[in-house]
Amino acid sequence: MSAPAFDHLKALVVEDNAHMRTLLRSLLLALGLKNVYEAADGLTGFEELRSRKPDFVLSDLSMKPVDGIEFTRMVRMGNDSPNPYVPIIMVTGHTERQRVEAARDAGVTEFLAKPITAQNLLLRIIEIVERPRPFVRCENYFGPDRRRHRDEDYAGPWRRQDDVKDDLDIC
Amino acid sequence: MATQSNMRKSGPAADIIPPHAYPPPLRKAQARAFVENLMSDAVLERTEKVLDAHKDNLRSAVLSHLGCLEEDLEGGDFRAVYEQAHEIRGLAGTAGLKYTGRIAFGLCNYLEAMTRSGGTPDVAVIELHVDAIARAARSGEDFQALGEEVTSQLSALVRRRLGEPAKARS
Repeated sequence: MSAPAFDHLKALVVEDNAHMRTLLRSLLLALGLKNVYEAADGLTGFEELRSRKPDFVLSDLSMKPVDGIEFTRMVRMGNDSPNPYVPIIMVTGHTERQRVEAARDAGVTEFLAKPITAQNLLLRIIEIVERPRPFVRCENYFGPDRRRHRDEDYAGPWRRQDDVKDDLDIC
Repeated sequence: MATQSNMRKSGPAADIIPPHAYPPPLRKAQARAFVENLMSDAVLERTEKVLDAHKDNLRSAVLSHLGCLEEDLEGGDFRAVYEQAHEIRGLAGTAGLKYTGRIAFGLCNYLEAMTRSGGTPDVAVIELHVDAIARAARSGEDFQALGEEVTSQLSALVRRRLGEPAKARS
C-alpha cells in the first residue's frame, strides 16, 4: 500500500513542560504524522524551525527565556526567519484577554485552549490545512489576517486599500 | 456589497498576500486526503485513547508540582508559588482535574493582580488556594458539588481582596 499523500507532513512542538510536550507529540503521531520535532522554548524552537522546516508549529504561550509570543514575532518578522508563513497554533491556558491579543498581534494563526481535547486539536489542524488564511503586511504587522468573522452588514470604515475586492476573496 | 466609492481609509495601507501566493502546508489534493483522514472516527478514537493514556502521567506531574508549591509557600517565595501554580493550571485540566486547574487559575490571577498593583499578597489567601488545590488534586476530585462551591467561594474571596484598598491589604 502506498504511503498517504500527507506522510511527509512535519510538525514542531514548542513547549517547556516535558509532560505536555510528550502528550502533544503523541497526539500528533496518533493523527498519522511521521515527523514530529520538539523544542523546550522559543529560541530552540526557532533553531528547529530553521533546521527541520516543519509545515506547522504547535507552541506554548508561557516559556522561558523566549515565550510563544516572542517566538511568533521571530518567525513572522525576523530577517533570518526560514518560513514567515508557517502556521502557528498557540496552545494556551491563558484566558487573559491582553495575552491572547498580544499573541494574535504577533501573528499566531490559531489558538488551542487548555484543557486539550482530541476534537479541538483536530479542528485546529484541519483549519490550518484546509483553509490557509491570507497574510497581511502593513507598517506594524505581518501575519495571518486577524479578521475571523465577516459581518455582511458592516458598512465600514474600510481600513485597507484592497478591502473591497478582498471582501469577496477571504475564505 | 461594499463599493470603492464608500471605502474610507482610516489606517495604514496593507498588502494582502492570498493563500495561493505562499507555500501552504499541503497542496489541495493532499490537504483533502489529510482532512478526510483526520475526520474519521478511528483517528478521533485513537487520539482520545492517547489523551486517556497520558492522564495518569499528567496527574503525577500535577502532584509533583503540588509538592513544590507547598514547599515554596512554606519558604515564602511567592514568585515560585506563582510558577508552580501556573504549571499546575496548565496540566490539571488535561489531566482531568478540572477544579484543581480552576483553583490554580484563580491563584495565578490573584498573584498576577498583586504584581501589577505592586501590593503585598495576602498569605492567608494563598494558603487557602494551595490547601484547596492539594485537597482537590490528591483526592482525584471525587466531589462535583463541593468543587463548584469551593471554587466559587475562592473566586469571591479574591474579588473581595482585590477590591479592597491597598492599605487595608497590607
